[in-house]
Amino acid sequence: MNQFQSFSQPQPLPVSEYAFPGVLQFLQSEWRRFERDRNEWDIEKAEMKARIAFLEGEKRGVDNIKIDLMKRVKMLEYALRQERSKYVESKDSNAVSAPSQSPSGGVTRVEILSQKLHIPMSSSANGVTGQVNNKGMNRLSTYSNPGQNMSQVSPTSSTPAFDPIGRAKSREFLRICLQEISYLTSSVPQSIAVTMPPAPSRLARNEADRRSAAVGARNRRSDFFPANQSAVAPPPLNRANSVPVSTLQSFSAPKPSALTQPLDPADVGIAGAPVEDKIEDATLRQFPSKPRSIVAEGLTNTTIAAKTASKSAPAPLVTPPSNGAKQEQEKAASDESDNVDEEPITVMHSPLSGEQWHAQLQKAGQQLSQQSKSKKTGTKVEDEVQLSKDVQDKFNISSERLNKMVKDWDKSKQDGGVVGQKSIRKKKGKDSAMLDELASLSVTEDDVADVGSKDGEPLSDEPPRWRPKITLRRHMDTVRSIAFHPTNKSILSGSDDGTMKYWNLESSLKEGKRPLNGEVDPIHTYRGHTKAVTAVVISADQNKCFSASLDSTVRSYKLAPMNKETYAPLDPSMTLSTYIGHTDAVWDIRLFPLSISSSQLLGSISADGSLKIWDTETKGSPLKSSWGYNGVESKSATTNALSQLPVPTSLDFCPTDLKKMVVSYTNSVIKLFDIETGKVILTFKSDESYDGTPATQINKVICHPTLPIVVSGHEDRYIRFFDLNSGACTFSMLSHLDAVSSLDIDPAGLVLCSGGHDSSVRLWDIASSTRPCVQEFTGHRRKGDEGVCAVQYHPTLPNLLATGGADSIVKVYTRS
Amino acid sequence: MMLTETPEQEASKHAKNSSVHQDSSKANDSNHSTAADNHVPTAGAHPLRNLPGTKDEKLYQWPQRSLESIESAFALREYLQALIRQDPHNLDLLIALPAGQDEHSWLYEHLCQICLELNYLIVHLEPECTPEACPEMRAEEWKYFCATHPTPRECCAIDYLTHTLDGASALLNNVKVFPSRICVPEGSVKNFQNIARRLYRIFAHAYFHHRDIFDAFEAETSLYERFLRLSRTRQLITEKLIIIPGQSNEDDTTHASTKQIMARSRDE
Repeated sequence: MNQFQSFSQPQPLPVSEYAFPGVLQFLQSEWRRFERDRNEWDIEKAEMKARIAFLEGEKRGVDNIKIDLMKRVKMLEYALRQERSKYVESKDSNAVSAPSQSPSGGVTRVEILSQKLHIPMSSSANGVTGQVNNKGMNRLSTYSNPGQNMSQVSPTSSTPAFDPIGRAKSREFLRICLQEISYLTSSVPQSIAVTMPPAPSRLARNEADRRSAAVGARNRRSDFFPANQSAVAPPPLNRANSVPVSTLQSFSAPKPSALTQPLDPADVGIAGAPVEDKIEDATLRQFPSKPRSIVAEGLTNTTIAAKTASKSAPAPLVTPPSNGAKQEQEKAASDESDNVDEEPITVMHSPLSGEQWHAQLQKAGQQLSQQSKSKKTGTKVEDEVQLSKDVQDKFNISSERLNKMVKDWDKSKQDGGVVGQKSIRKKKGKDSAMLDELASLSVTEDDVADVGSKDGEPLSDEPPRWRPKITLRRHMDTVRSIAFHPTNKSILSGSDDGTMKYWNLESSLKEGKRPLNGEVDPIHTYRGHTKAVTAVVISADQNKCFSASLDSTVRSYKLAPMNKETYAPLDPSMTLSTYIGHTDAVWDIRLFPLSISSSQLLGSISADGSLKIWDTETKGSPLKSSWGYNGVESKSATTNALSQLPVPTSLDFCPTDLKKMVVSYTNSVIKLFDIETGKVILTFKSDESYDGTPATQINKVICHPTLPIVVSGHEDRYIRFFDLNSGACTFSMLSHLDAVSSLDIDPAGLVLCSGGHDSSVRLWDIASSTRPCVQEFTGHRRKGDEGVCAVQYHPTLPNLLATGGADSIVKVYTRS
Repeated sequence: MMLTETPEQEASKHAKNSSVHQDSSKANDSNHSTAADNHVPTAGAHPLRNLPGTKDEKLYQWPQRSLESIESAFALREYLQALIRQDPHNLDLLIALPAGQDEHSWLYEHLCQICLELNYLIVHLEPECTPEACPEMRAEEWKYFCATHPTPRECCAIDYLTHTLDGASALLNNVKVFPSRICVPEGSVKNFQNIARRLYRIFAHAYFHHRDIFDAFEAETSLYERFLRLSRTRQLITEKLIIIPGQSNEDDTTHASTKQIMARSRDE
């Protein structure tokens, strides 16, 4: 139930977005719900049918009883008349003592009394002669008030007049009838209830409905047939009860206080009142208090009956119905209090009366049991779905796969459902087949889970996998560098086509779950370089962006506002300045992690062998310092000498030590420089793998955001980890099938993303000592011998990753 | 279809040329290798990419490959770019349809490449062609409205140029219009003419209003000439829209030859 709720609650969210998977999921869930509802309706229908059959059987039985009783009554009347006439004839002198009434009156009175005792059963049972019943009751009540003496006197006088054998017979018959009726009323729902699934497995909606009215699972019946129950089935019984009880009470009203001390009159009053008035209402209204009070009343009645029986002769005349009533009420009580053991008689009678309608209901019962089974299966499946969702959440299983599994399941269920409609018998087989499928499904889930855990995600809160979300196709050539805005959902891309494009991803990321393959236009295209753009960075504090190019320059531009239209008029002030100083291709630029007031450093490295630090805020000459392979000391060396030295390939500032920066060189050496002095602090032992050709050079070097770790991506397909303090290589792994082109570490510092010219993007869990690959996907198609050229995490927003590749495309990935 | 004869001839010519170029590039390479460590690139092993740190003079220093040997999805583009890098002025070779290739795909790659290179023309135009200097998009006596907007608008020249170029890039990159690089859907072929017509205006504006820049750029890239010949041979632009006068006798002769070809193909 909870599972169902938690499963259905997230539905409304994706609905509003109208993405294809969302709609599909919504449709699937809707379909499942309809299927469930249909199952319920089928069950209800079967229950209704069972109920109708039961009621028909009951009516037939009651009619039989009525006819029988009427015969008996007539017989008794006739016998009484005979007796009376005999008595009058033989003992005419023996006048009636107590009330000075005429013998004829006495006769009528006894007649009436006998009618009171018997007719109510039949009249109320068939419900047609209710008028007679009411009249009789009225007469009885008017009669029984003064009838204190009558109970004392008339019994003594009339007892011999009744035929004891006939009375015993009729009493016995009545008892059987009552038992049968009570069995019919109680045991049918029982059998249904047994076949029904237990309450917890019902769906929340219905459950709530049912619980509002009923206490136990069996009370569902009364909930299903509130009108029927009160109008058709119980009233004859209850009214049959009510009459004797009231009679009994009115008979014994003065006595209980005298005879039965422990009996609390209030108890009787409370319990008796509703029984007399509207027992059918009371059964519905007073469930909490009812069972106990009825039992108590029943006990009271028995005690009273016993007392009266022991005390006076006419008592037996009263007790049989009261016994029946007691049993009936006990039955009702047991019905409601869910106590089956209280009815040994019912059990005894079950084969007799059960066969009648049990045969009829057998089929229905089977339907019910099967459907309940199928419903159980349904809930089970829901559980499974929920489970799989959990598993997915936990182990990053692709939702496509999950969807596929769900689809498969739906298909199988649909098949099962159709067949089930055609023939319920067959459905059982289908159900078992479905269960088998489910078993296999759960196995596959386990497999997936295993794979997920095998993939080495020791972190239980590991977010799901990255999925492509937006494809940006506007560049005309290889995208060589990308940079996220530090806070906005916007991205800058630099390409071999000499342009830099700035994209607003805000709306594209919102649009549903469907991956956008589409036509996202950049909000601005920066032109200025005369050759390919090699690196781009964004400085949010300055609202600037910088680009490096093979044309030996670094250029800075104003960032286009996020709401700029693609084809808005050109703003000439966008172009800010050009940093000219390098004499050869600039291959990488990097912003200093912190922008100190009125100073924002930018480092650039060039094929001319130099590294230059620019202050992008200063009014004067932006060039702050410049040094070559050997640091500032070698500045005295001629440019010729510089050109012979290894060329820097990549640089990064150290976020953990803001005075330092690392630079990688074509000879696979990584050097740690002091930014202020330009002196070499440390030369990493990173060139052990260098074989003297560019085939082993370092393409990219980055610093870990929080730990003193430097990661380098090599042309020889390796990624290597270095300790920033010692310069020692701590880990080395063959990571791609071709050269590693780009690296980035996620803001949390746990996952390393690498892009390679084998066109794959790989994510590495660098928190683990073995640094296993967490996810791998094909990023971009190859052009020439280039594949993925740039990978970038969003620096602050989680769940945003972008890659740029040789296929001129920028892809933005999300995970959710 | 119409040019089945000529491309084959040209292809054979090109094959010779390319082999010559291959040799020359290898020769260049060996010359350079003395300076660069002991790095001896072999045709197969040398990765076809510019490694970070590559000096400007060594960019794209890999041997020209035959089109058949290029296996990537961008074979035609790589091939075309390699040809242009070799000699941007060898227009016959550039324009000629490589043997066995789809005519429209080749045209598509050419237009992409022209858009790419027009970026650089605009870079050169930008300092001079300001909204103040050229408040209207004009070329000779023509005035153009910018069609990239929902309703064509009167943009200033530089806006018109950038918008047109961006629009053309967007259209060429539109996967719905051009879903594949291997073949161009029939319905998308007509877009070539629209793109070409608009791109022509960029050249026209540059020619009539920024002649110095146009000439310098043309001397470096022969981009307009390439574009013009491509448009004429593929009939992308009607003759009366070509308002830039032919610059030399050579052009006239090429025009004549293409006209001859067209006439011949019509006869067929």
